[in-house]
Amino acid sequence: MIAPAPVQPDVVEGTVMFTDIVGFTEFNALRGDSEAMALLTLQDRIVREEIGRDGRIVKDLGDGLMLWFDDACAAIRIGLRLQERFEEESMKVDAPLWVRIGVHAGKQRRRGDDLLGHDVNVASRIMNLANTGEVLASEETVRRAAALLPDVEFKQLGPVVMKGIPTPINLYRVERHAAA
Amino acid sequence: MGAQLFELPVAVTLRLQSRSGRVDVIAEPRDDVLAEGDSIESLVDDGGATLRIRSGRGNKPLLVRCPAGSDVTVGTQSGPVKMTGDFGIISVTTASGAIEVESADEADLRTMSASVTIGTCRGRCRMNSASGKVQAGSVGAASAGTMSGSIQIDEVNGSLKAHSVSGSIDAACGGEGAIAIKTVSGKVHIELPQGCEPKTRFKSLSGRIRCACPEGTDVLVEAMSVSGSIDVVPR
Repeated sequence: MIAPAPVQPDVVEGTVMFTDIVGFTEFNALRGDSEAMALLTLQDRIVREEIGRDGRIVKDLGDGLMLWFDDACAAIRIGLRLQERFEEESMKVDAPLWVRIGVHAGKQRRRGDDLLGHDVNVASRIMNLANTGEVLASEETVRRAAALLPDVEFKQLGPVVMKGIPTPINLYRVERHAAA
Repeated sequence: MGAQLFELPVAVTLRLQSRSGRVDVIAEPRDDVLAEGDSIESLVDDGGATLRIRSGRGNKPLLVRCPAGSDVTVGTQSGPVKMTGDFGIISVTTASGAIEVESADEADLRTMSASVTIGTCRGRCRMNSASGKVQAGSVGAASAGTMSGSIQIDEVNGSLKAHSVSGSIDAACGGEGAIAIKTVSGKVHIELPQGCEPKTRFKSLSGRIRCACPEGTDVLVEAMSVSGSIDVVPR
């Protein structure tokens, strides 16, 4: 008799990352669909190369991606690495792969392969506040990851009140230590 | 309107929070912190190193008077933030509230749609507004970004990193640090001191990039544009 497949829990705990290519709509309008598609493919390739088995692409959002990691450290480490790769490749191929990244750790509700819920919304809002080339992370992410990432600096931006989010979120700008 | 007076150790960090009410912070010669507003909640945290002040719900204003040189972070959604006087390290984040700062050692100012204005920042100054205007007087190293808003910096005394989608970037640099500009379709105008001979690395897909300064090794200027025009000129 074949054992029944284990029941997948409805709620998962992990870290959600949103990426967004800044100025993608304008680039698409100026340079056409082929170059826009090439830019998306470039982002996709770099993300797949860097996340390896540490995370997964939850969904494609047009000019950005939603990623999930079971470990906040991996999310932070890969977020920083992604920005470095985006910058390198952008210069190499003369393409404006200018990306902002937001990261938030918490609980997410599974719906098929998708993830939903308050903590997903918070991650999206955090990304909206990031500047090009930046990784922003919530306090909860930093609490889980900071002690294990000595080469990473977390600079507090303070309490941030976000639209639709009842509780202010303490945000941090994530950077490699200058000496690292 | 209530008032609370906090007698605190020197070098306390203030963390202020309001949803839609205006936040005014005044740095002045004093040793304590005075907060005025309706339904203020406060908490001394981090072993006395941090004072958190939160204004009550609604759009009631919050006024905080603190010692000159204080480090302050402020977060609001739609409430505007005005910081008068000379501060230490500051960070202000709003969704749609305008940010106005007189003077600070270091600053991180970001908003989704409102304007950002700072008079003087002696150290690194980060400014970001998605659609609002970013305006600075004299800053140290500067990092500024906008989507459709404009960036104007009167005097950059260190490195400059600026990014725009369609917004314009206008900055006068002292030639003391590397300059890196990225724009999709914005118009960029960078001024360098007379006699400065920059080393340039320009990349453009269809935009016009022009440097009216003689090529040299004084300062690195990197610029990348999709269709926007970039001009580097002597002041």
